[in-house]
Amino acid sequence: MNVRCVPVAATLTARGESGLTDAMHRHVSSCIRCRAELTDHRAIEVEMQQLRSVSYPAPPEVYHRVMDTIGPWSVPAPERNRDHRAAIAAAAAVATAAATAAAGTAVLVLRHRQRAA
Amino acid sequence: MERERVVPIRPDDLVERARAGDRDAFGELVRIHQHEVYTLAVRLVHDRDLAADVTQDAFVRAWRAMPKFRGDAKFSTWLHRITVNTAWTHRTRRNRVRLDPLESLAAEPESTFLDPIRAGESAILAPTIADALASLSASVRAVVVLKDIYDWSHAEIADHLDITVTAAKVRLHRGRKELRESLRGWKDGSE
Repeated sequence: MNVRCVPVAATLTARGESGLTDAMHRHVSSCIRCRAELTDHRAIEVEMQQLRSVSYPAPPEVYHRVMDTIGPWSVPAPERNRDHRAAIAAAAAVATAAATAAAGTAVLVLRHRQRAA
Repeated sequence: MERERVVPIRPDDLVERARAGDRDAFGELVRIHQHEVYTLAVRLVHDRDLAADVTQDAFVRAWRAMPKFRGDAKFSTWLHRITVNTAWTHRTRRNRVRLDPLESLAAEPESTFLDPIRAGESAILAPTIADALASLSASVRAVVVLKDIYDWSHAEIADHLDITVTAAKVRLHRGRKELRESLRGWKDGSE
């Protein structure tokens, strides 16, 4: 690889064939190594483009898992958001109630122990 | 069991109905797009089970975000962006940096071809490039896949992978170089 080959290889990997300057094109036409480099680059580009038409079939259970997760009903979008907010509010209320109950129980236990002592 | 039903063919109608909260319309969109979403997920995470999880999660996120979908981009493009974000979240969560190359090849699923005219041609070429892609590290592969297969811009890639544009360019450069070396190595070895 001589000093003119280095920028050709670097340009091909970074910017593709369209990034080659006129001087680089002239060098490529007279350099066996760079011609091979360009041929490889074109082959990879073609193969990558062909991958666009290749598809892997999703496992059949994916569809059912999605539909199970999103729930059984059709709900207007604003309702969906409202339901989400309502669920958060309900969870917060339950958590507050549980914390209050736990604190109350702790106070009662402490008093009971103090009385027993 | 899901009931098969006839729905309007126009994808825009389905999207509009799904935006309004129509579960059946969204289900139809899942049927239409599940394979392309799964394919993108497989290419990003290169693990069939994880790709199935990513696909499921991406559609659930899409359903929740449907009201925000304004139609500025195509629905499939929007879905791809969600898939990339989801794949990246899963990958980070599981900290699966790289599979053993042999395990990766074993994990390569059976493929089908969207365009039957090109199927024969691709069947010869695709496994080789797919194997070469599998040999890249996940972070480099993601950039190469999004740029060279899905034609994303450097800015889009950087934004969705949470890296700088410079980092995206560096990874692309490295990935293409490694791909070329892998393919050249196999070609030389087979001669």
